[in-house]
Amino acid sequence: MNINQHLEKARASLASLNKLDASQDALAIIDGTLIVGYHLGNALLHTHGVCEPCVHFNTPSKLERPVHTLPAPVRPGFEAFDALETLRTRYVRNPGELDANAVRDARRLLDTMARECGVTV
Amino acid sequence: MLIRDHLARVESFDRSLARLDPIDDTELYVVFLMRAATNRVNAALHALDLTEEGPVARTVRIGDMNHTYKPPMDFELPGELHAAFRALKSIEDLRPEYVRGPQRLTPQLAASCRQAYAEVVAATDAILKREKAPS
Repeated sequence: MNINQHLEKARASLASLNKLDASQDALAIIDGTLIVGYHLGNALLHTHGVCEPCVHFNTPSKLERPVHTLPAPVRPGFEAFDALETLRTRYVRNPGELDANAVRDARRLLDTMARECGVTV
Repeated sequence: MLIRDHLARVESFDRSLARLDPIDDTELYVVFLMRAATNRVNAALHALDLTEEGPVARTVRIGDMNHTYKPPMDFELPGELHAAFRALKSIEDLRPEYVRGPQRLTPQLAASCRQAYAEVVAATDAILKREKAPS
């Protein structure tokens, strides 16, 4: 998908995420931030010429290079994406005890990614 | 994860799904439906003692499955879970076009998703009720 398609999907997914209740849907919010992050992250990669629109990376762990080797403008967004993936591993795929702090962290990390892409959260 | 942890996750994702519209919220709806179904399948596999409940040491049998294809199964899938696996795979297969791709679910596809999930629920509930194994 091209940059605009990714940003459109990111906005749509963000609107869905905002329908959830932080106190009752913590697990879904953590998982959902990865979906929004996927679209924002790939928009960043395409914008800065890391990969063509026909190529995509599902998560930072699937990226074929370490995050610190990405171009400088992509790095803050991908560091946030990487941290979101860590939260998903800890809480969605493992029995980590979720609390309000984890949800706040996830939203803060997503805010960073959105800011890097010029998307309003 | 323990069966009770999987079932807690099922309950949580089911509750979140109820707040979403399958068409307007396609991306999250498909993923959350997949998560709920995957946790149901994992609980059933643990209850049947086919996969390891709890932490898994290397070299022993597999623990939780992230997807129907990952990790590769080291056991023969019982017939009573064939339909559930097919149904879960049908949800997983929506991701390239509907979660990561540009498409939005149609009313027909949304109905198919709900039907697929209902098949997972029916198959796994039958096993969990019979085995009465939640720890």
